[in-house]
Amino acid sequence: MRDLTDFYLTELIKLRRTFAFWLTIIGAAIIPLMLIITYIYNWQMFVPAAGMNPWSELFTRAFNGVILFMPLYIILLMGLIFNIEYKANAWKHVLVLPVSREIIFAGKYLVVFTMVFAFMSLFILFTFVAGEILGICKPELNFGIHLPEFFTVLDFSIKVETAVLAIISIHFWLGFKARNMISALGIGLAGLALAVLMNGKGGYADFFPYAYSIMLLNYNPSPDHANSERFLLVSMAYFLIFSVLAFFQFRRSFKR
Amino acid sequence: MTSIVSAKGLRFGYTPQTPTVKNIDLNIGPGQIYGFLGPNGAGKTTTIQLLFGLLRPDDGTVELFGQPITQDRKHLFSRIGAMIEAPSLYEHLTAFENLEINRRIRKLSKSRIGEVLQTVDLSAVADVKVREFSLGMKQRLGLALALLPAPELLILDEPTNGLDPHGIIQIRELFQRLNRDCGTTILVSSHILAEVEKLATHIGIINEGQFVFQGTMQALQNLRFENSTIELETNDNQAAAALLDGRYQVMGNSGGRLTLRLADKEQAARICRMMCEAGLDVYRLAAHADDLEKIFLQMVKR
Repeated sequence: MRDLTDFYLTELIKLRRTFAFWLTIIGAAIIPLMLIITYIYNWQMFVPAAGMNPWSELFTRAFNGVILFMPLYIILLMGLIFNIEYKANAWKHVLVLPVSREIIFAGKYLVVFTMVFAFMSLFILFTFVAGEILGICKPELNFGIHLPEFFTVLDFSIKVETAVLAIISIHFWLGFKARNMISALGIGLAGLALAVLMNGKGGYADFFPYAYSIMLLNYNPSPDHANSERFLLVSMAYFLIFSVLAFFQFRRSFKR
Repeated sequence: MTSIVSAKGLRFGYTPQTPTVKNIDLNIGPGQIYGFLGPNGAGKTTTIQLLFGLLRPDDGTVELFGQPITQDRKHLFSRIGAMIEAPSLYEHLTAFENLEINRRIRKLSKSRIGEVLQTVDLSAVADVKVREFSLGMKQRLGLALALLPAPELLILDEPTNGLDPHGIIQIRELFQRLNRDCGTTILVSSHILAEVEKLATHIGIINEGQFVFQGTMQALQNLRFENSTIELETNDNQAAAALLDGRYQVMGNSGGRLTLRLADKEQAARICRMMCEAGLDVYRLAAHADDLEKIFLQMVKR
Protein backbone atom coordinates (compact mmCIF):
# COMPACT_ATOMS: atom_id res chain seq x y z
CA MET A 1 0.00 0.00 0.00
CA ARG A 2 2.88 2.34 0.81
CA ASP A 3 4.33 1.68 -2.62
CA LEU A 4 1.07 2.81 -4.20
CA THR A 5 0.85 5.91 -2.00
CA ASP A 6 4.43 6.90 -2.77
CA PHE A 7 4.00 6.31 -6.48
CA TYR A 8 0.70 8.20 -6.51
CA LEU A 9 2.34 11.17 -4.78
CA THR A 10 5.14 11.22 -7.33
CA GLU A 11 2.54 11.25 -10.10
CA LEU A 12 1.00 14.32 -8.47
CA ILE A 13 4.43 15.99 -8.33
CA LYS A 14 4.76 15.40 -12.09
CA LEU A 15 1.60 17.44 -12.66
CA ARG A 16 3.06 20.56 -11.05
CA ARG A 17 3.12 23.55 -13.40
CA THR A 18 1.63 21.48 -16.23
CA PHE A 19 -1.17 22.52 -18.56
CA ALA A 20 -3.16 19.53 -17.21
CA PHE A 21 -3.07 21.10 -13.74
CA TRP A 22 -4.19 24.54 -14.90
CA LEU A 23 -6.76 23.04 -17.26
CA THR A 24 -8.40 21.37 -14.27
CA ILE A 25 -8.71 24.64 -12.35
CA ILE A 26 -9.45 27.03 -15.20
CA GLY A 27 -11.67 24.49 -17.01
CA ALA A 28 -13.80 24.06 -13.89
CA ALA A 29 -14.16 27.84 -13.57
CA ILE A 30 -15.14 28.61 -17.18
CA ILE A 31 -18.82 27.62 -17.03
CA PRO A 32 -19.53 29.32 -13.65
CA LEU A 33 -17.77 32.44 -14.95
CA MET A 34 -19.87 32.45 -18.12
CA LEU A 35 -22.99 32.05 -15.99
CA ILE A 36 -22.04 35.07 -13.84
CA ILE A 37 -21.60 37.19 -16.97
CA THR A 38 -24.85 35.94 -18.53
CA TYR A 39 -26.88 36.46 -15.34
CA ILE A 40 -25.48 39.94 -14.70
CA TYR A 41 -26.04 41.21 -18.26
CA ASN A 42 -29.52 39.69 -18.59
CA TRP A 43 -30.52 39.60 -14.96
CA GLN A 44 -34.16 40.55 -15.62
CA MET A 45 -34.58 37.26 -17.51
CA PHE A 46 -33.50 35.27 -14.48
CA VAL A 47 -35.59 36.84 -11.73
CA PRO A 48 -37.36 33.76 -10.31
CA ALA A 49 -41.10 33.46 -9.84
CA ALA A 50 -42.30 33.78 -6.27
CA GLY A 51 -41.26 30.79 -4.18
CA MET A 52 -38.99 29.35 -6.88
CA ASN A 53 -35.44 28.38 -5.95
CA PRO A 54 -33.05 30.18 -8.39
CA TRP A 55 -30.28 27.68 -7.60
CA SER A 56 -32.13 24.94 -9.54
CA GLU A 57 -31.97 26.86 -12.80
CA LEU A 58 -28.40 27.98 -12.20
CA PHE A 59 -27.23 24.42 -11.58
CA THR A 60 -29.25 23.03 -14.51
CA ARG A 61 -27.56 25.55 -16.81
CA ALA A 62 -24.18 24.74 -15.27
CA PHE A 63 -24.80 20.99 -15.63
CA ASN A 64 -25.74 21.41 -19.30
CA GLY A 65 -22.45 23.19 -19.86
CA VAL A 66 -20.34 20.66 -18.01
CA ILE A 67 -21.73 17.56 -19.70
CA LEU A 68 -20.37 18.88 -23.00
CA PHE A 69 -17.16 20.30 -21.58
CA MET A 70 -16.23 17.37 -19.32
CA PRO A 71 -15.60 14.76 -22.05
CA LEU A 72 -13.42 17.30 -23.86
CA TYR A 73 -11.55 17.97 -20.63
CA ILE A 74 -11.02 14.24 -20.01
CA ILE A 75 -9.75 13.57 -23.55
CA LEU A 76 -7.31 16.47 -23.28
CA LEU A 77 -6.27 15.60 -19.72
CA MET A 78 -5.47 11.99 -20.59
CA GLY A 79 -3.43 13.07 -23.59
CA LEU A 80 -1.49 15.56 -21.46
CA ILE A 81 -0.86 13.11 -18.61
CA PHE A 82 0.52 10.46 -20.97
CA ASN A 83 2.50 13.08 -22.85
CA ILE A 84 4.44 13.90 -19.66
CA GLU A 85 6.06 10.43 -19.77
CA TYR A 86 6.48 10.24 -23.53
CA LYS A 87 7.98 13.72 -23.78
CA ALA A 88 10.50 12.99 -21.03
CA ASN A 89 11.32 9.58 -22.59
CA ALA A 90 10.59 8.41 -19.06
CA TRP A 91 8.78 5.09 -19.45
CA LYS A 92 12.05 3.15 -19.60
CA HIS A 93 13.27 4.87 -16.49
CA VAL A 94 9.98 4.39 -14.60
CA LEU A 95 9.99 0.68 -15.45
CA VAL A 96 13.45 0.10 -13.95
CA LEU A 97 12.50 1.66 -10.64
CA PRO A 98 11.93 -0.72 -7.73
CA VAL A 99 8.16 -0.69 -8.02
CA SER A 100 5.86 -3.25 -9.59
CA ARG A 101 4.09 -2.65 -12.89
CA GLU A 102 0.74 -3.09 -11.16
CA ILE A 103 1.57 -0.18 -8.86
CA ILE A 104 2.68 1.97 -11.81
CA PHE A 105 -0.58 1.24 -13.62
CA ALA A 106 -2.75 1.80 -10.54
CA GLY A 107 -0.88 4.97 -9.56
CA LYS A 108 -1.36 6.51 -12.99
CA TYR A 109 -5.04 5.53 -13.08
CA LEU A 110 -5.59 6.98 -9.61
CA VAL A 111 -4.09 10.30 -10.65
CA VAL A 112 -6.50 10.49 -13.59
CA PHE A 113 -9.43 9.88 -11.25
CA THR A 114 -8.07 12.44 -8.80
CA MET A 115 -7.94 15.07 -11.53
CA VAL A 116 -11.44 14.27 -12.83
CA PHE A 117 -12.82 14.29 -9.30
CA ALA A 118 -11.00 17.55 -8.58
CA PHE A 119 -12.42 19.06 -11.76
CA MET A 120 -15.99 18.09 -10.79
CA SER A 121 -15.57 19.25 -7.18
CA LEU A 122 -14.10 22.58 -8.28
CA PHE A 123 -16.85 23.01 -10.85
CA ILE A 124 -19.54 22.57 -8.17
CA LEU A 125 -17.67 24.84 -5.77
CA PHE A 126 -17.23 27.54 -8.44
CA THR A 127 -20.91 27.25 -9.44
CA PHE A 128 -21.88 27.73 -5.80
CA VAL A 129 -19.54 30.71 -5.52
CA ALA A 130 -21.05 32.09 -8.76
CA GLY A 131 -24.54 31.90 -7.18
CA GLU A 132 -23.28 33.63 -4.05
CA ILE A 133 -21.66 36.40 -6.12
CA LEU A 134 -24.88 36.84 -8.09
CA GLY A 135 -26.80 36.97 -4.81
CA ILE A 136 -24.60 39.84 -3.67
CA CYS A 137 -24.52 41.70 -7.01
CA LYS A 138 -28.21 41.21 -7.86
CA PRO A 139 -30.25 40.57 -4.70
CA GLU A 140 -33.39 40.43 -6.92
CA LEU A 141 -32.25 37.01 -8.14
CA ASN A 142 -32.96 35.65 -4.60
CA PHE A 143 -29.79 33.54 -4.37
CA GLY A 144 -29.33 34.92 -0.86
CA ILE A 145 -32.60 33.60 0.49
CA HIS A 146 -32.46 30.05 -0.91
CA LEU A 147 -29.98 27.20 -0.70
CA PRO A 148 -28.85 24.88 -3.49
CA GLU A 149 -30.47 21.45 -3.62
CA PHE A 150 -27.46 19.56 -2.41
CA PHE A 151 -28.96 16.12 -3.06
CA THR A 152 -29.57 16.98 -6.74
CA VAL A 153 -26.00 18.29 -7.04
CA LEU A 154 -24.60 15.14 -5.43
CA ASP A 155 -26.82 12.88 -7.56
CA PHE A 156 -25.77 14.65 -10.76
CA SER A 157 -22.09 14.52 -9.77
CA ILE A 158 -22.22 10.76 -9.19
CA LYS A 159 -24.09 10.17 -12.46
CA VAL A 160 -21.86 12.35 -14.60
CA GLU A 161 -18.72 10.76 -13.12
CA THR A 162 -20.18 7.31 -13.79
CA ALA A 163 -21.11 8.38 -17.33
CA VAL A 164 -17.53 9.45 -18.11
CA LEU A 165 -15.96 6.24 -16.74
CA ALA A 166 -16.18 4.72 -20.23
CA ILE A 167 -14.30 7.62 -21.86
CA ILE A 168 -11.69 7.61 -19.09
CA SER A 169 -10.94 3.91 -19.56
CA ILE A 170 -10.93 4.12 -23.37
CA HIS A 171 -8.47 7.02 -23.35
CA PHE A 172 -6.35 5.37 -20.66
CA TRP A 173 -6.05 2.37 -22.97
CA LEU A 174 -5.38 4.68 -25.94
CA GLY A 175 -2.63 6.42 -23.93
CA PHE A 176 -0.62 3.18 -23.91
CA LYS A 177 -1.73 2.09 -27.35
CA ALA A 178 -1.38 5.24 -29.45
CA ARG A 179 1.67 6.86 -27.73
CA ASN A 180 0.74 9.94 -29.70
CA MET A 181 -1.36 12.61 -28.07
CA ILE A 182 -2.74 13.84 -31.40
CA SER A 183 -4.10 10.41 -32.41
CA ALA A 184 -5.90 9.99 -29.08
CA LEU A 185 -7.25 13.54 -29.31
CA GLY A 186 -8.47 12.92 -32.85
CA ILE A 187 -10.31 9.75 -31.83
CA GLY A 188 -11.85 11.54 -28.86
CA LEU A 189 -13.01 14.53 -30.86
CA ALA A 190 -14.49 12.31 -33.57
CA GLY A 191 -16.30 10.34 -30.86
CA LEU A 192 -17.70 13.50 -29.34
CA ALA A 193 -18.84 14.82 -32.72
CA LEU A 194 -20.68 11.55 -33.37
CA ALA A 195 -22.20 11.68 -29.89
CA VAL A 196 -23.58 15.16 -30.54
CA LEU A 197 -24.98 13.98 -33.86
CA MET A 198 -26.73 11.07 -32.11
CA ASN A 199 -28.45 13.71 -30.04
CA GLY A 200 -30.21 11.90 -27.25
CA LYS A 201 -30.93 8.71 -25.47
CA GLY A 202 -31.96 5.35 -26.74
CA GLY A 203 -30.96 3.34 -29.78
CA TYR A 204 -27.29 3.05 -30.62
CA ALA A 205 -26.39 6.00 -28.38
CA ASP A 206 -26.81 3.74 -25.34
CA PHE A 207 -23.80 1.77 -26.54
CA PHE A 208 -21.73 4.74 -27.69
CA PRO A 209 -19.44 5.76 -24.79
CA TYR A 210 -18.88 9.36 -25.89
CA ALA A 211 -22.65 10.01 -25.73
CA TYR A 212 -23.21 9.14 -22.07
CA SER A 213 -22.49 12.45 -20.41
CA ILE A 214 -24.58 14.25 -23.08
CA MET A 215 -27.49 12.01 -22.10
CA LEU A 216 -27.61 13.94 -18.85
CA LEU A 217 -28.76 17.07 -20.71
CA ASN A 218 -31.40 19.08 -18.80
CA TYR A 219 -30.75 16.82 -15.85
CA ASN A 220 -33.74 16.13 -13.67
CA PRO A 221 -33.21 13.61 -10.88
CA SER A 222 -36.67 11.97 -10.98
CA PRO A 223 -38.03 10.91 -14.39
CA ASP A 224 -36.89 8.34 -16.90
CA HIS A 225 -35.07 6.45 -14.20
CA ALA A 226 -34.76 3.12 -15.98
CA ASN A 227 -33.23 4.60 -19.13
CA SER A 228 -30.65 6.62 -17.24
CA GLU A 229 -29.70 3.56 -15.20
CA ARG A 230 -29.08 1.53 -18.36
CA PHE A 231 -26.45 3.76 -19.99
CA LEU A 232 -24.67 4.17 -16.68
CA LEU A 233 -24.45 0.40 -16.35
CA VAL A 234 -23.10 0.15 -19.90
CA SER A 235 -20.55 2.85 -19.05
CA MET A 236 -19.38 0.78 -16.08
CA ALA A 237 -19.14 -2.31 -18.27
CA TYR A 238 -17.01 -0.38 -20.79
CA PHE A 239 -14.88 0.83 -17.91
CA LEU A 240 -14.17 -2.71 -16.72
CA ILE A 241 -13.41 -4.00 -20.21
CA PHE A 242 -11.12 -1.13 -21.23
CA SER A 243 -9.35 -1.06 -17.87
CA VAL A 244 -8.38 -4.71 -18.34
CA LEU A 245 -7.37 -4.00 -21.95
CA ALA A 246 -5.33 -0.98 -20.79
CA PHE A 247 -3.50 -3.11 -18.23
CA PHE A 248 -2.54 -5.74 -20.80
CA GLN A 249 -1.61 -3.05 -23.29
CA PHE A 250 0.60 -1.42 -20.65
CA ARG A 251 2.37 -4.71 -19.93
CA ARG A 252 2.81 -5.37 -23.64
CA SER A 253 3.77 -1.87 -24.74
CA PHE A 254 7.10 -1.80 -23.00
CA LYS A 255 8.03 -5.44 -23.48
CA ARG A 256 8.06 -6.67 -27.02
CA MET B 1 32.13 -15.77 -7.39
CA THR B 2 28.63 -14.76 -8.49
CA SER B 3 28.47 -12.54 -11.55
CA ILE B 4 26.75 -9.22 -11.09
CA VAL B 5 25.50 -9.28 -14.68
CA SER B 6 25.24 -12.51 -16.58
CA ALA B 7 23.65 -12.98 -19.98
CA LYS B 8 23.73 -16.23 -21.93
CA GLY B 9 22.88 -16.67 -25.58
CA LEU B 10 20.86 -13.47 -25.83
CA ARG B 11 19.09 -13.03 -29.14
CA PHE B 12 16.62 -10.36 -30.07
CA GLY B 13 15.21 -8.76 -33.18
CA TYR B 14 12.65 -5.99 -33.52
CA THR B 15 11.51 -7.95 -36.56
CA PRO B 16 12.14 -11.70 -36.94
CA GLN B 17 14.06 -11.15 -40.20
CA THR B 18 16.58 -8.69 -38.80
CA PRO B 19 18.14 -9.73 -35.49
CA THR B 20 19.55 -6.74 -33.61
CA VAL B 21 21.33 -8.81 -30.96
CA LYS B 22 22.82 -12.17 -31.91
CA ASN B 23 23.95 -14.68 -29.32
CA ILE B 24 25.37 -12.31 -26.74
CA ASP B 25 27.19 -13.85 -23.76
CA LEU B 26 28.11 -11.34 -21.11
CA ASN B 27 29.63 -11.72 -17.68
CA ILE B 28 30.45 -8.82 -15.41
CA GLY B 29 32.01 -9.65 -12.07
CA PRO B 30 31.83 -7.64 -8.84
CA GLY B 31 33.87 -4.46 -8.84
CA GLN B 32 34.50 -4.43 -12.57
CA ILE B 33 34.17 -1.38 -14.75
CA TYR B 34 32.91 -2.83 -18.00
CA GLY B 35 33.25 -0.67 -21.08
CA PHE B 36 30.59 -1.70 -23.58
CA LEU B 37 31.75 -0.39 -26.92
CA GLY B 38 30.34 -0.37 -30.37
CA PRO B 39 29.45 1.97 -33.20
CA ASN B 40 26.01 3.57 -33.37
CA GLY B 41 23.39 0.97 -34.15
CA ALA B 42 25.59 -1.95 -33.05
CA GLY B 43 23.02 -3.14 -30.49
CA LYS B 44 24.38 -1.62 -27.26
CA THR B 45 21.14 0.04 -26.11
CA THR B 46 19.08 -2.98 -27.16
CA THR B 47 21.39 -5.23 -25.12
CA ILE B 48 21.05 -2.92 -22.12
CA GLN B 49 17.26 -2.96 -22.47
CA LEU B 50 17.39 -6.77 -22.59
CA LEU B 51 19.48 -6.78 -19.40
CA PHE B 52 16.75 -4.78 -17.68
CA GLY B 53 13.93 -6.90 -19.01
CA LEU B 54 12.55 -3.92 -20.94
CA LEU B 55 12.61 -6.14 -24.02
CA ARG B 56 11.83 -9.83 -24.04
CA PRO B 57 14.67 -11.80 -25.67
CA ASP B 58 13.82 -14.21 -28.47
CA ASP B 59 16.29 -16.55 -26.84
CA GLY B 60 18.72 -16.58 -23.91
CA THR B 61 18.67 -15.68 -20.24
CA VAL B 62 19.66 -12.71 -18.10
CA GLU B 63 20.66 -12.82 -14.46
CA LEU B 64 21.47 -9.88 -12.25
CA PHE B 65 23.18 -10.54 -8.92
CA GLY B 66 22.81 -14.26 -9.68
CA GLN B 67 19.04 -14.01 -9.92
CA PRO B 68 16.86 -14.22 -13.04
CA ILE B 69 15.68 -10.79 -14.13
CA THR B 70 12.11 -12.04 -14.15
CA GLN B 71 12.14 -12.75 -10.40
CA ASP B 72 11.77 -10.19 -7.62
CA ARG B 73 12.43 -7.26 -9.95
CA LYS B 74 11.60 -4.78 -7.23
CA HIS B 75 14.48 -5.95 -5.04
CA LEU B 76 16.85 -6.26 -8.00
CA PHE B 77 16.09 -2.76 -9.27
CA SER B 78 16.60 -1.27 -5.80
CA ARG B 79 20.28 -2.27 -6.16
CA ILE B 80 20.72 -0.74 -9.61
CA GLY B 81 21.13 2.80 -10.87
CA ALA B 82 20.55 3.31 -14.55
CA MET B 83 20.55 5.76 -17.37
CA ILE B 84 19.22 4.25 -20.58
CA GLU B 85 19.67 6.28 -23.77
CA ALA B 86 19.06 9.95 -22.96
CA PRO B 87 18.41 10.98 -19.35
CA SER B 88 14.70 10.74 -18.52
CA LEU B 89 13.91 14.15 -17.13
CA TYR B 90 10.66 16.03 -16.61
CA GLU B 91 11.66 19.38 -18.03
CA HIS B 92 8.80 21.34 -16.41
CA LEU B 93 10.09 20.31 -12.98
CA THR B 94 13.20 21.45 -11.14
CA ALA B 95 16.28 19.30 -10.65
CA PHE B 96 15.25 18.79 -7.02
CA GLU B 97 11.72 17.72 -8.00
CA ASN B 98 13.06 15.25 -10.55
CA LEU B 99 15.20 13.68 -7.86
CA GLU B 100 12.36 13.84 -5.31
CA ILE B 101 10.17 11.68 -7.57
CA ASN B 102 12.83 8.98 -7.62
CA ARG B 103 13.66 9.38 -3.94
CA ARG B 104 10.04 8.80 -2.91
CA ILE B 105 9.66 5.70 -5.04
CA ARG B 106 12.98 4.33 -3.77
CA LYS B 107 12.11 5.33 -0.18
CA LEU B 108 15.45 7.03 0.45
CA SER B 109 16.27 9.75 2.95
CA LYS B 110 15.85 13.34 1.80
CA SER B 111 19.52 14.05 2.45
CA ARG B 112 20.46 11.81 -0.53
CA ILE B 113 19.17 14.46 -2.92
CA GLY B 114 21.62 17.06 -1.58
CA GLU B 115 24.43 14.51 -1.69
CA VAL B 116 23.97 13.49 -5.32
CA LEU B 117 23.40 17.07 -6.44
CA GLN B 118 26.72 17.92 -4.85
CA THR B 119 28.37 14.89 -6.46
CA VAL B 120 27.37 16.02 -9.95
CA ASP B 121 27.99 19.66 -9.11
CA LEU B 122 24.40 20.85 -9.56
CA SER B 123 23.62 22.05 -6.02
CA ALA B 124 23.47 25.66 -7.14
CA VAL B 125 20.73 24.95 -9.69
CA ALA B 126 18.64 22.54 -7.61
CA ASP B 127 15.59 24.80 -7.86
CA VAL B 128 15.96 25.67 -11.53
CA LYS B 129 13.59 24.06 -14.02
CA VAL B 130 15.31 21.41 -16.12
CA ARG B 131 14.18 23.07 -19.35
CA GLU B 132 16.65 25.87 -18.52
CA PHE B 133 19.54 23.37 -18.33
CA SER B 134 22.23 22.88 -20.94
CA LEU B 135 22.72 19.44 -22.49
CA GLY B 136 25.67 18.75 -20.19
CA MET B 137 23.69 19.74 -17.09
CA LYS B 138 20.85 17.44 -18.12
CA GLN B 139 23.35 14.65 -18.55
CA ARG B 140 24.74 15.28 -15.07
CA LEU B 141 21.23 15.32 -13.60
CA GLY B 142 20.58 12.00 -15.35
CA LEU B 143 23.69 10.69 -13.61
CA ALA B 144 22.45 12.05 -10.29
CA LEU B 145 19.23 10.06 -10.77
CA ALA B 146 21.27 6.92 -11.41
CA LEU B 147 23.47 7.56 -8.37
CA LEU B 148 20.57 8.36 -6.03
CA PRO B 149 20.14 4.86 -4.56
CA ALA B 150 23.93 4.46 -4.01
CA PRO B 151 23.67 1.47 -6.34
CA GLU B 152 25.76 -1.69 -6.28
CA LEU B 153 25.46 -1.81 -10.06
CA LEU B 154 25.48 1.24 -12.26
CA ILE B 155 24.39 0.83 -15.89
CA LEU B 156 24.96 3.91 -18.00
CA ASP B 157 24.24 4.23 -21.68
CA GLU B 158 26.60 6.80 -23.21
CA PRO B 159 26.78 8.90 -20.04
CA THR B 160 29.24 11.46 -21.37
CA ASN B 161 27.11 12.58 -24.32
CA GLY B 162 26.99 16.35 -24.37
CA LEU B 163 29.66 16.83 -21.71
CA ASP B 164 32.62 19.09 -22.30
CA PRO B 165 36.16 17.66 -21.81
CA HIS B 166 36.29 18.92 -18.25
CA GLY B 167 32.92 17.31 -17.54
CA ILE B 168 34.07 14.03 -19.07
CA ILE B 169 37.15 13.99 -16.83
CA GLN B 170 34.99 14.78 -13.77
CA ILE B 171 32.59 11.95 -14.57
CA ARG B 172 35.45 9.53 -15.18
CA GLU B 173 36.98 10.43 -11.82
CA LEU B 174 33.57 10.02 -10.19
CA PHE B 175 33.17 6.51 -11.61
CA GLN B 176 36.68 5.57 -10.51
CA ARG B 177 35.96 6.91 -7.02
CA LEU B 178 32.66 5.01 -6.77
CA ASN B 179 34.33 1.85 -7.97
CA ARG B 180 37.29 2.22 -5.62
CA ASP B 181 35.53 3.47 -2.49
CA CYS B 182 32.15 1.76 -2.73
CA GLY B 183 32.98 -1.26 -4.86
CA THR B 184 30.30 -0.22 -7.36
CA THR B 185 30.21 -2.39 -10.46
CA ILE B 186 29.81 -0.23 -13.52
CA LEU B 187 28.68 -0.99 -17.05
CA VAL B 188 29.25 2.01 -19.25
CA SER B 189 28.44 2.00 -22.93
CA SER B 190 30.02 4.25 -25.50
CA HIS B 191 30.81 4.43 -29.17
CA ILE B 192 34.14 6.16 -28.50
CA LEU B 193 36.98 3.98 -27.26
CA ALA B 194 38.96 6.90 -25.85
CA GLU B 195 36.13 7.60 -23.41
CA VAL B 196 36.35 4.23 -21.71
CA GLU B 197 39.95 3.10 -22.21
CA LYS B 198 41.14 5.21 -19.28
CA LEU B 199 38.33 3.91 -17.09
CA ALA B 200 37.40 0.34 -17.88
CA THR B 201 38.93 -2.77 -16.37
CA HIS B 202 37.09 -4.94 -18.90
CA ILE B 203 35.96 -4.27 -22.43
CA GLY B 204 33.32 -5.72 -24.68
CA ILE B 205 33.19 -4.58 -28.30
CA ILE B 206 29.96 -5.26 -30.13
CA ASN B 207 29.37 -4.93 -33.84
CA GLU B 208 26.22 -5.80 -35.76
CA GLY B 209 24.71 -7.38 -32.67
CA GLN B 210 27.57 -9.65 -31.67
CA PHE B 211 30.75 -9.40 -29.67
CA VAL B 212 33.94 -9.00 -31.69
CA PHE B 213 36.06 -8.71 -28.56
CA GLN B 214 35.49 -9.39 -24.92
CA GLY B 215 38.15 -9.44 -22.25
CA THR B 216 40.26 -7.40 -19.91
CA MET B 217 41.61 -4.01 -20.83
CA GLN B 218 45.07 -5.59 -20.69
CA ALA B 219 44.03 -8.19 -23.28
CA LEU B 220 42.86 -5.40 -25.57
CA GLN B 221 46.13 -3.55 -24.99
CA ASN B 222 48.03 -6.71 -25.94
CA LEU B 223 46.22 -6.78 -29.28
CA ARG B 224 48.11 -3.62 -30.12
CA PHE B 225 51.25 -5.71 -30.60
CA GLU B 226 49.69 -8.30 -32.91
CA ASN B 227 50.43 -6.35 -36.07
CA SER B 228 53.23 -4.26 -34.63
CA THR B 229 56.78 -3.86 -35.82
CA ILE B 230 60.06 -2.65 -34.45
CA GLU B 231 62.60 -0.72 -36.48
CA LEU B 232 66.27 -1.14 -35.75
CA GLU B 233 69.23 0.80 -37.08
CA THR B 234 72.76 -0.16 -36.07
CA ASN B 235 76.29 0.43 -37.30
CA ASP B 236 76.16 -3.06 -38.90
CA ASN B 237 72.68 -4.14 -39.90
CA GLN B 238 73.91 -7.34 -41.57
CA ALA B 239 75.52 -8.51 -38.34
CA ALA B 240 72.46 -7.47 -36.39
CA ALA B 241 70.20 -9.42 -38.78
CA ALA B 242 72.38 -12.52 -38.39
CA LEU B 243 72.24 -12.14 -34.62
CA LEU B 244 68.47 -11.80 -34.57
CA ASP B 245 67.75 -14.51 -37.12
CA GLY B 246 66.08 -17.52 -35.57
CA ARG B 247 65.13 -15.65 -32.42
CA TYR B 248 62.98 -12.92 -33.88
CA GLN B 249 61.06 -12.62 -37.11
CA VAL B 250 63.08 -10.28 -39.29
CA MET B 251 60.68 -8.94 -41.87
CA GLY B 252 62.99 -6.76 -43.92
CA ASN B 253 66.36 -5.09 -44.26
CA SER B 254 66.17 -2.02 -46.43
CA GLY B 255 66.82 1.68 -46.27
CA GLY B 256 69.45 1.13 -43.63
CA ARG B 257 66.88 -0.29 -41.22
CA LEU B 258 65.86 -3.72 -40.04
CA THR B 259 62.16 -4.37 -39.53
CA LEU B 260 61.09 -7.03 -37.04
CA ARG B 261 57.72 -8.34 -35.84
CA LEU B 262 57.03 -6.95 -32.35
CA ALA B 263 55.39 -9.43 -29.98
CA ASP B 264 55.41 -7.42 -26.78
CA LYS B 265 56.86 -4.20 -25.50
CA GLU B 266 59.60 -5.99 -23.50
CA GLN B 267 61.00 -7.23 -26.79
CA ALA B 268 62.50 -3.83 -27.55
CA ALA B 269 64.54 -3.93 -24.35
CA ARG B 270 65.76 -7.47 -25.06
CA ILE B 271 66.90 -6.57 -28.58
CA CYS B 272 68.67 -3.46 -27.34
CA ARG B 273 70.50 -5.50 -24.70
CA MET B 274 71.45 -8.14 -27.29
CA MET B 275 72.90 -5.53 -29.66
CA CYS B 276 74.92 -3.89 -26.93
CA GLU B 277 76.27 -7.23 -25.65
CA ALA B 278 77.33 -8.07 -29.24
CA GLY B 279 79.23 -4.76 -29.44
CA LEU B 280 76.91 -3.19 -32.01
CA ASP B 281 76.00 0.48 -31.82
CA VAL B 282 72.27 1.08 -31.79
CA TYR B 283 71.34 4.30 -33.61
CA ARG B 284 67.60 3.80 -33.64
CA LEU B 285 65.13 1.44 -32.01
CA ALA B 286 61.47 2.33 -32.55
CA ALA B 287 58.36 0.26 -31.84
CA HIS B 288 55.34 0.87 -34.03
CA ALA B 289 52.22 -0.48 -32.32
CA ASP B 290 48.66 0.13 -33.49
CA ASP B 291 46.76 2.49 -31.27
CA LEU B 292 43.60 1.17 -29.62
CA GLU B 293 41.40 3.40 -31.73
CA LYS B 294 42.76 1.80 -34.89
CA ILE B 295 42.21 -1.69 -33.46
CA PHE B 296 38.68 -0.74 -32.46
CA LEU B 297 37.91 0.64 -35.90
CA GLN B 298 39.32 -2.51 -37.53
CA MET B 299 37.11 -4.64 -35.28
CA VAL B 300 33.99 -2.73 -36.19
CA LYS B 301 35.13 -2.46 -39.82
CA ARG B 302 34.73 1.27 -40.10
